[in-house]
Amino acid sequence: MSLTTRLPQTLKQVRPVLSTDHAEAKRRVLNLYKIWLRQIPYIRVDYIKNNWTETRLRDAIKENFMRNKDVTDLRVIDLLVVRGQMDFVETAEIWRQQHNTATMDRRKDTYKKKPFGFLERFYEGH
Amino acid sequence: MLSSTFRLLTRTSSFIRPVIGSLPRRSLFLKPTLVSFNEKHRQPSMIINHIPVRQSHVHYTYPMIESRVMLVLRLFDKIDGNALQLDSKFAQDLGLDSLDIVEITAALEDEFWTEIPDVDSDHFVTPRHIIQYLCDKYDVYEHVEPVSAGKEYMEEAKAAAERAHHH
Repeated sequence: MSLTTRLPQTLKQVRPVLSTDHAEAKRRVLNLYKIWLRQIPYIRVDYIKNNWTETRLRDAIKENFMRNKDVTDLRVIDLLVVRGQMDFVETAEIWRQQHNTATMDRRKDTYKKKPFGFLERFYEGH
Repeated sequence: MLSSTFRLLTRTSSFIRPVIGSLPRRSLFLKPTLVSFNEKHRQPSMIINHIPVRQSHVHYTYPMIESRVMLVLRLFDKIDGNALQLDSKFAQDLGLDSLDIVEITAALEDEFWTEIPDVDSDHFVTPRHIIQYLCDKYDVYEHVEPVSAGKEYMEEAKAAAERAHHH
């Protein structure tokens, strides 16, 4: 069944990426969450140098999902799901580096954030 | 665990004793091993390096399913154990979102050694739904009131038998 036969009339103006309604997008998101959860013991073993615990990995995955919880655009949700699935495949096939802790710990982000607020801009010199 | 090996060896040695003439003497003084050397009389609880297997003869009853489900839910740290009832809704009363329900479903899959597809776990609103789903999966119906058509059929059959008896 091709995508064009499944489109309701209103969506014919914008071509969907993967899912045609919010229920299908929600199913994709929940499926992705479940496979990430099931992969946790293998992540712990494959990246054993980092000494991640199960609770920490679970919190990291939950945080990564909750960061995008306010997105309502179907195409954006689909793209995020696809990106999450690509990350999952890279993690499962151990194409990442062993020491790449930035994936599971956002506090280790090394890029400098743009200053937001008066004090931060003052410290920067603006 | 060491005591169970000794128990295992003493139990198996009692079977070896009748053939003491044919076997060499040193087989009675074997050091404790980790694997039962008497295949016929193996009992699953005695083996040390026992890989857990799914017992196919487990008898599923409604109280057993209900207590296991409630235990798994209570162990979940986002659920308040005091507020958890059979009919408390996950989303409204207990404050869980759909990702937490996926986690709960994964924990229940581990507990019951079965697969619960996402299509079914979308419809879990209260613990009662989960218990009913598992009862349907394992054909447990002792908590269900029998259909009343049976009673009417029995009465009709009784009336027909009486009519036949009186004629």
